[in-house]
Amino acid sequence: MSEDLMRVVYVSQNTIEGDDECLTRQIEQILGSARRRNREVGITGALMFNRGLFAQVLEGPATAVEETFERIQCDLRHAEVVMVACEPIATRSFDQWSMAYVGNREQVPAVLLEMANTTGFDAHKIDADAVNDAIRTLLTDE
Amino acid sequence: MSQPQTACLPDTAGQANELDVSSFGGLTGFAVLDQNGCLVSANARLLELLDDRVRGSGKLDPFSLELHSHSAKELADALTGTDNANLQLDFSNGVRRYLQLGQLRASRRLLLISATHFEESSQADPELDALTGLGNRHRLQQTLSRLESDRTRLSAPHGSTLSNDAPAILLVDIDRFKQINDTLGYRIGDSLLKLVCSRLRRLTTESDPLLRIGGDEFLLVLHASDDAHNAIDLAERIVDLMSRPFLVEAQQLDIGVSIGIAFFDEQTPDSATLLQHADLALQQAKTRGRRQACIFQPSMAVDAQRRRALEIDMRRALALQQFRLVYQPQVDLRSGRLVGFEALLRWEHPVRGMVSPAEFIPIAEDTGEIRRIGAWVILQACLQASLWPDGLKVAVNVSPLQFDDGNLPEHIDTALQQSNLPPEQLEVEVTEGLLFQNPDAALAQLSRIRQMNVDIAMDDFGTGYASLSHLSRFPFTKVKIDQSFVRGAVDDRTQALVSCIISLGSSLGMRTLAEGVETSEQYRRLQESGCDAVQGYLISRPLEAGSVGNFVERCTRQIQGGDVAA
Repeated sequence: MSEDLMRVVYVSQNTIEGDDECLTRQIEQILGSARRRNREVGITGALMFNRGLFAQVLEGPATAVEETFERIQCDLRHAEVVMVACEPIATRSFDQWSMAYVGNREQVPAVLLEMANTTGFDAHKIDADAVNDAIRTLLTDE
Repeated sequence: MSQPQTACLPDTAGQANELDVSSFGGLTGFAVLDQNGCLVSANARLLELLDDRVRGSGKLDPFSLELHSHSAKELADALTGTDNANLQLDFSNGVRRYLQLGQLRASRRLLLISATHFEESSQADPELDALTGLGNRHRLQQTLSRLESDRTRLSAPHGSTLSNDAPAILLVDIDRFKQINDTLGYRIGDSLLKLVCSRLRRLTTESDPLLRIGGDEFLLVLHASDDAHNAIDLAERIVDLMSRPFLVEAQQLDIGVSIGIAFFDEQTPDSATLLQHADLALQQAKTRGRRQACIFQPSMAVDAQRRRALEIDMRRALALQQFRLVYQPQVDLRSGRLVGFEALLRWEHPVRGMVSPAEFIPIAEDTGEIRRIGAWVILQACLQASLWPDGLKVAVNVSPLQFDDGNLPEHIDTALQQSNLPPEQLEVEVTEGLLFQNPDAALAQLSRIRQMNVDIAMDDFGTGYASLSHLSRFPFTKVKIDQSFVRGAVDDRTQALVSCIISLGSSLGMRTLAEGVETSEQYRRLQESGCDAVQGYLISRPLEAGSVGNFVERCTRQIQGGDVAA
């Protein structure tokens, strides 16, 4: 259990086609299976979905994060995956959440709003800590 | 740790002829199960490997074994079904066991459990790749033969197979894999290969043969039921998935794959040809910039054959003395004097006629033949220039590949000694490509060449990626302005660029020479811009070695009357 903790933050583009209802159903499914699996392997994190973009933070033991990330990578419901952080961490930011979710909502953190509005979607410019913190802020507001 | 003893098992083993495994020794756990999953008999090792979790109930209950849910579910499925199974059991405490389930008669099943992978403990299959578990190159022949016999069988009654439902093979090659191995080590490389393999498997079905036929090359066979669109769609999905980042040992790895697709259609005589076709398509995908799939086209085979024939002819050309050098005069713009010649390589083949350097140089660079040809060019140019009147320079083009063995300065020195040409009459021309491939090695060798008093020119400046920092960092004595900035309609911007290169050169202490000068208008403009020298058809076409003497003489006479070009 003493394996080092690491964190991965990535953003990607939604490729799910269909109406809002379909999208909601898919996201619920993603969250459902993510939460189940994450609990088993000691992953915590958060998923944010807004305006066609996913942003996700995964934290936990390195091996588990790698396995989980690989599974997510292979999911064809998103594309243009850009990893904005991949680094060791001392403590978790989302230790209360097997997979917290911040969905379509009015109040979008500036950093993510900017990311979604930028034409050309240059995710390389996004600051991982900003994403991490933005999602955290939303969660504590709840 | 646990004593060999018979477990408290339900007493259903009373029947005659029942297989009793309780006395089986060794490292493998054995059990016979009835249709409800109850243990009819088991050896001590089995109980030990399952941490005594089945001792109480005497039943293999997937959900009371403290397994990870995915393992529990797989085991439950295997027990419900009647097929033979081969599973990995992951326990919540991190322990991993391997399980095999086989059918015995009378609804009994044989259960084997091991702490190590069954494949690893048994004799390794020489046709299986130990890393990925896929078939390897030894299985390739068998896979291809099967494809051939399938085709014969399927096409016989109908007479013809439509190309769009012909079987297809996909040759998948990892871009930049060597780099990962070299920089991060084999362990990470191996982990990456396993992930690549599992991504490939995720997109394909078990019935599609997938082989690892090279270090970073995979072959996927799609049977006749797949139509062309399927193969192309699949290839695109593979390219997409492999372009996504991989995470190995907390490091992000970015690779990509190139794919060659070939269909086993009527025009493809056998599976060996099919494989060649896929390989040609793969080369095409790489040439086009990688991270993409290409479908084989018959023209690729024609090109490849032509290229191969050219390659063979070229290997003989040096020995058969089919190469020769021609010399293009260079003239000083201030004095109008002839200052030297650029040596240009010509290949005249008895059947092909003149073969353009644009066609054969890339092939010579690809095959490495450029080293022998390049060495010949340097020596030949020095020998011929040593016969010219004093002071006339000869410029020789050198390929970046000639820097590879680190001995170019020595080769040049030898040529100078053999020819007795004063070093200051030799100029080496290099292209921008050199500065990117191995800049440190190039810089070291260029500096040594410069120390020998040989001049160094940067060729085709402005057409590639060379930056100002390259110009100042490398010991260039001359910048050659590419002919694309000189020829044709020169607008203001181009003219400004040319002036800029000229003043840049002069402020860095380098001379400038413009190539491709065809009209007196261009000559005059370059003269006004302060360019040092020119070459081009206006002065003269490249001359045969034997005509250089006459040309030099004519220039000397003309110069008394004015500019060569005037």
